[in-house]
Amino acid sequence: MLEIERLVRKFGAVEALAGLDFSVEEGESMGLIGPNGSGKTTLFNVVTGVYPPTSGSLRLEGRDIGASKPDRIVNLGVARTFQNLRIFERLTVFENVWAAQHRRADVALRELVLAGRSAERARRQEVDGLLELTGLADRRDALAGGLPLPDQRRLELARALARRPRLLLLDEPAGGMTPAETEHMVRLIRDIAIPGRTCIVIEHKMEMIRNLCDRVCVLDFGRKIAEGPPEAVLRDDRVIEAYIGREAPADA
Amino acid sequence: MDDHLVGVLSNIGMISFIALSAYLLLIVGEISFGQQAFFAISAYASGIATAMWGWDFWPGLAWGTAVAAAAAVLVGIPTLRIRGLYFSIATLAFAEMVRLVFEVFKYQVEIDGEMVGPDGSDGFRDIRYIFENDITAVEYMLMIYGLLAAVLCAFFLLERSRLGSIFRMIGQDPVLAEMQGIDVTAYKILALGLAGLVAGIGGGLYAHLTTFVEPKIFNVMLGVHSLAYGLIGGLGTAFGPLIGVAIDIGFLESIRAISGYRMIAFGGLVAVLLIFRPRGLLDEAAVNWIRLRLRRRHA
Repeated sequence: MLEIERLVRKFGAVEALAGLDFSVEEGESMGLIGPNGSGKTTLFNVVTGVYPPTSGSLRLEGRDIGASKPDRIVNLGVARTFQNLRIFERLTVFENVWAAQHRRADVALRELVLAGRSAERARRQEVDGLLELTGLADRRDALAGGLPLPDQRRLELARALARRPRLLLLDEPAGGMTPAETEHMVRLIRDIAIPGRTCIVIEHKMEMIRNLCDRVCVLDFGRKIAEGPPEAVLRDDRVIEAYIGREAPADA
Repeated sequence: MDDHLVGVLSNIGMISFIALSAYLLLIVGEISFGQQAFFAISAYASGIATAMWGWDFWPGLAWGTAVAAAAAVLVGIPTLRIRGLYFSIATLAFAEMVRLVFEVFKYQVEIDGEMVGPDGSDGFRDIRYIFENDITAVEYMLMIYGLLAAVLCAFFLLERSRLGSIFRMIGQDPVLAEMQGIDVTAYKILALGLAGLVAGIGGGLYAHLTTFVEPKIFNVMLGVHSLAYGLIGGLGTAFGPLIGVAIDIGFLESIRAISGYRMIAFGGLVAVLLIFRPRGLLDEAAVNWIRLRLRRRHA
């Protein structure tokens, strides 16, 4: 699905990604962990074209996307959420998700202005269905900027799913949530985000990684230091060492 | 109907077009100080078509509008790659360039023993189609408002369509919009073209109402005003800029008691609103509140 080789991304003299090799198989759900500043979010930004890679190769389903613009890449079937929450604050909750259906194969260009009634009704129902699933149905017509943080995170998830991505990138989907809210988010991701697609999840909450991921990849200083099934990797000495003094993986 | 009133209403109608033009760009997050350029281009082009080439009014207006829209797209291709303040300055520079070109632009033909056509800084006289065809001031006012109603309908359709949401997404967070698969630059060029078209309709109407245009009318103040209209009236709905125009021209300019203080009052109003309602009276929150109220009443 996604193959990355010797990927380097520099910001000035700092190498945020320092020759990363990384790959995800179709249908796999991969956890991405590592201390703050280890390059996790940078990797998402490079994969989605927000930051072009300094060097190295980047292939999505065999296609080279290293030099592609973000809108081209996401139209190949990639969607993401953001660690620092990005929503369209002055659009309603419904509009946030509805507008994300843009450029999907079933939305013709002319429907930008005039939509065929039955097709459009089906798509609006799909949006309402996503809002129902994510527990946002009763906030449907509120401006998104007024939602509390957990609702905004769920809105980001609904918006990403509305694009029907084949590769979904989730950047700390439970960041800033209480344990109960986190548990709800884990259920959402397990039930509606992971089935039928490839997922990469960045998360500091190791319980989530254990619950959701088939495989875990650990980054430190822009390199991969460990990879494998969650139970084995989370016991690895190098992983524990990378986290020591910053936060302990067990209770983070 | 009182002549003064007809004049004021006609002015409100025409200026509304350029206000809507600037509003559309504010929606996609760009501040243009140059929409008066497209107003001017259409005023000249449509005037040339009816007064010099003998075209009818509607084809002349359509031609002027098309030229303005084409000019806007051509300007958009290089300038929309630059963003924010740099785009604003580029539009300002372009508009001044257009005005200075009209200062030296001479293109005249002899009609019935008289020279007709743009004559540099002396302006372009005798765009007399309306008078020659016995269209009264009231009829012309109704034509202006008919077109304005059509453009407003188009705006409301746009706001409800995916395209409208895409424009607002780009205005709020262009990077996030790209993450929804949107080619931001292409849509901005489309918005600029549509904005040029809307300004062009106003420019063509203006030239035929006043029968005389000169370059200095299309100075920066016209562009600044058209921006301010949206910021006063609100960026949540196309009614916003119209409210801005009505407040400025219908109220401040037309009440003779405060005529000398118009600019002071206008500037003060903009300053107060920028502090208390940075996105205008009818901002997105206000519009959404009203929309929900209306829906609840129907339900």
